[in-house]
Amino acid sequence: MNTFRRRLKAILLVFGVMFVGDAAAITREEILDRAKAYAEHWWTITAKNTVADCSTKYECDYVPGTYQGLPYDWGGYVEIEKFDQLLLDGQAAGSHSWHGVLSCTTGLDCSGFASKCWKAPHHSTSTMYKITDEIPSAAILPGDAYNKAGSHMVVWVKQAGDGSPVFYEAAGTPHKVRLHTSATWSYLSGYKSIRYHYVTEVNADAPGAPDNPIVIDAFPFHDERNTLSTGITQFDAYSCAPEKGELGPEVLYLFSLKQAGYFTATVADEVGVDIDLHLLSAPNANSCLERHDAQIGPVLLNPGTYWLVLDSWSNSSGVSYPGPYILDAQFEPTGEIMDPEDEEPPVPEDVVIDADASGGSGIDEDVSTGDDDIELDSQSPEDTASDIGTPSPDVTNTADAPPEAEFFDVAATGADGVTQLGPDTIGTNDEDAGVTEVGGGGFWLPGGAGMGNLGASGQTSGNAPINSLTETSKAPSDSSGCDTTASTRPVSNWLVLLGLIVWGTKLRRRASNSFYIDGR
Amino acid sequence: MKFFVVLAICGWTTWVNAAPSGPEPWKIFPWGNGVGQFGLVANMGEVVPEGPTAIAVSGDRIYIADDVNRRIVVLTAQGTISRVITSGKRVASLDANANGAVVLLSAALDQWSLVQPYESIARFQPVESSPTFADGWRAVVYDAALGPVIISSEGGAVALVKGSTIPLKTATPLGMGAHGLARWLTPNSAVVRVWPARVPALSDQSGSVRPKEIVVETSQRLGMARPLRIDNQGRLYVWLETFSNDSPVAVVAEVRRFEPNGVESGKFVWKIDDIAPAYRYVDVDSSGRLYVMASRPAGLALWRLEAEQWESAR
Repeated sequence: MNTFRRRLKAILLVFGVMFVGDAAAITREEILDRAKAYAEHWWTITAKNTVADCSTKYECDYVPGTYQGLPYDWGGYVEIEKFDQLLLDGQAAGSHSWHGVLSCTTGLDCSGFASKCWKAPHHSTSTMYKITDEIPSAAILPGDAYNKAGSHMVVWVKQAGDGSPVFYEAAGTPHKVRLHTSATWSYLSGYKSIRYHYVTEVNADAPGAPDNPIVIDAFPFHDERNTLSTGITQFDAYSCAPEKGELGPEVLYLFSLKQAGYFTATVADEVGVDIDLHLLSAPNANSCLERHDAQIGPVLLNPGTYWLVLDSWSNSSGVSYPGPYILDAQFEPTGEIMDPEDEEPPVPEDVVIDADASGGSGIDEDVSTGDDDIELDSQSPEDTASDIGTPSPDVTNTADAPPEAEFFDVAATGADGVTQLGPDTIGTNDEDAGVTEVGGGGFWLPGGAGMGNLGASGQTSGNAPINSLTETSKAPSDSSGCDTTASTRPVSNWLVLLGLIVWGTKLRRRASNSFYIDGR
Repeated sequence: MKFFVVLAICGWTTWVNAAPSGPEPWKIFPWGNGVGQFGLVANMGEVVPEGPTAIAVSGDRIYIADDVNRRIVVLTAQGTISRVITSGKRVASLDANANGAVVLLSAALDQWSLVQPYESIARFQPVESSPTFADGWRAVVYDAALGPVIISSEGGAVALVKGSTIPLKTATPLGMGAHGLARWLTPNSAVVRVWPARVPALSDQSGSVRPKEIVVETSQRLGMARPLRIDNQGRLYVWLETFSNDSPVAVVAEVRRFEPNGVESGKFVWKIDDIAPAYRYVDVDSSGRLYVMASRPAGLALWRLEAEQWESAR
């Protein structure tokens, strides 16, 4: 029913937009692109651009030079190209409210900026209600806005990994258009969440839309895209993980296999974005073969046609995390050309980890088990958490993990040498699969009773020069003792690690009431 | 009927008692540009009101960026003015070491200055660009080990050395040789992760060393969590914001204190209206005293919360 309503709303919206004219319609991706263009535009001023001919009390924030991000200008509402031209014409760069609205300055104020992002006529924060609807804050999406009438407004981007708001604005202490990544929610206290009337939620013609899937015609395949580019939310949940919310927009890929082989797909997303992978045997959510927040496969596929859906995960409150992503897919044929109607291809011995537990083909069940386990942390406490600066927990990370010599260096500089490499470490935190525990008995404090080894290392490191720190980070990887051959034995290594993750997760569950992540 | 009346009264009483409140300010400094005053530009319409932009506590001194007056005001532990530094330009962030050396980051985030204890005028120099700052910068801190460091909201950092910057692999320096980040987990929980200072954290996306973790849970919808500082007793302080209303956004701010073994030992809660906008307006000194500043009609209000004033953990 919800899907039906959403589609109906989308259809009505599209028709509504058509009715008022195409010029008013804008996609979320386009809004953010426009905002980014304003925030990243480089401009240069000379001495004449620091003086306002029409005001004696004007004081420019800028000195001659080159800057990024259009200046804040009280009452300003200007396109980038026009801004550049006005600078050449000698107008001053930016102004403040105490200067009054000046005809000889150029730039944008906060509402002028939001209006431009939406391609809307210039409205002030007090008249924004004429072109927007108030929405629940928990339902805000990229391209919407927070507005405080008579005060200020910002164009919403996302929640950062620590939950803090990220938005574009024309204001702030720098007095320019910027991507504000260091605000807190109290900054937005008293603000209402609003949505521009003519945001198009769907773009049926966009590559990756259900009627226009992106064809993967060769492997390896690489693509960088944004789930907001389609805005389509045809799939809200999938049969292979019905409890996982995927309420955000998705992008569809299509590929056909003429022979059996191992298929692998990985997705990387950024802070505040959470894109999940879904492998389907047909273009519907009930045909889901595999799902994961970071990597699918290697999974053995028969010849046939498959759909790969990159969908925006949503949390238990229904807040979705759409945004840009990087997709990589590989296919390694087994060498056997099979008919899709034939029996399943042979399964290599080392693929079956826990056939009894899977009760099925082994491969799929095991992979999905690993997925579920991983997502206990990476997805619901979810990969919003893991996204912050860290790729989602996956085996690829482990294989690509940077040198771990830092740990040994830490130990050498004062830690008591308790190194915990092993299944209990690997499994206790999925996103850190294969990581090293810093000290077994300490916490964060350097030295002191009961502070443990970590503290001691911290104390020593606290006096270390920068150079030594840099050198430490460049230490060779093989000193850590971790499996540096992972990249040369991808399949077997993957499966071993998956098994360790499953094992570790069981251990973790056993220790779930313990404070420490290592389950002590 | 009586049952519902009693129920309603109980519910109302519970709600009232649950409302956060804070103590009276420790000091209030009037607005203005004279000695003992701080600058405020308010009621400007479509611009966020501007007042002091940052506070830092180090040693026995309190450093406040009096941004409107383009100066840094240094207070003693008694709240009297001990020193004034002319910044000459807007400052977005500041910090100091125990000896009184002050590091400033310009409002445009493109220049920094290290002001020695014997100096009274800040001289800025450009911040070299760094790939770790691709997504914006956040603040400057005076790390005990590394010296002046700029940290970014996305975990990147650079050490500031005269004439250049050195990219770091650590995240938020918390003092005492550690750094950490918080991760928003669910609408009602977050995890705070702490690494020793020399261990790369998330900025290089390695996660090669396991951090220690604290899961922080809230009764109201969680907005954000951010580690603030580790004091000289090893206690970790975490800043939290929760929503008391959806739209318009209403926020309750609190700082929670965790002992070195990870056990929560205290908290302090404010109505956000008392301190909004709470943005780089909170700091903890090495002994665990919490400082909060806020713009109030009467002037700049400064709270100082002694360790024994913390509300015991639930």
